[in-house]
Amino acid sequence: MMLANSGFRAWVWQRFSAAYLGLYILAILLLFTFNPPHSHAAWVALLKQPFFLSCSVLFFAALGIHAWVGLRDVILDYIKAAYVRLLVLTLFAALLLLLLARAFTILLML
Amino acid sequence: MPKSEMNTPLKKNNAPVFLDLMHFKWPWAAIISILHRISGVFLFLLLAPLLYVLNLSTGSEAGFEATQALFSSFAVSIFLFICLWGLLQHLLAGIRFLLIDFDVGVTKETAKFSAKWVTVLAAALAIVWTGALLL
Repeated sequence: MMLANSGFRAWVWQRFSAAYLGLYILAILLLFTFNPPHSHAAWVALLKQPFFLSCSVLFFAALGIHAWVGLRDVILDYIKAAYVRLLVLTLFAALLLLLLARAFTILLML
Repeated sequence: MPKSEMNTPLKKNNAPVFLDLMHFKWPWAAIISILHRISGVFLFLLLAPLLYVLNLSTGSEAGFEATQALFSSFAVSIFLFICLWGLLQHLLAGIRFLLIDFDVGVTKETAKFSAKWVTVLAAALAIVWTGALLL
């Protein structure tokens, strides 16, 4: 199987990140439905728990990967002109990286 | 399905194009596919607001209370429902795609069945879950 440019790697990254995102989101939704934090202190304490914090950091990393593969697919599908495509891809990559960095700074500076 | 990898160079293509959306056939699999894409982009657009809310709620006591006040307003509840619906639609359709990747549900009948019921389930779950979250 030819791996170079075959899209296989993107496919794998998208599927694996999707699996993790799905699990995390399910857990979060259950948490907010059955045991939501009732105060600022409780909320921050929850987020700062080492396990929860690590999972959350991983969540945003996986989200960056997953969103990038998806966005890239959409951009490639609808923008055909080479230079416009490059520009749009770069813009969205930068945007995602900024969002990711912001998420990390929020979580790690609690 | 998002397995698009363009290996061909960008050549000018003179083939005729038919893009009259009103006159396409829209099988359930097609509907769920485009909904998956639309919900994906929508979820991406939700990232910035999500980070805003996360920052607000963790920043200070006042911020946390402001967040609570925000989520008790009616307009935001409606918006929350839409977000949850988009999320569930994308998630369930995604699981359907994952199963198809592993050759589960690839016949025409099963694919149509799963497509229809994923859409229904996503909407139903969104309604139920928004209710549970707000009560």
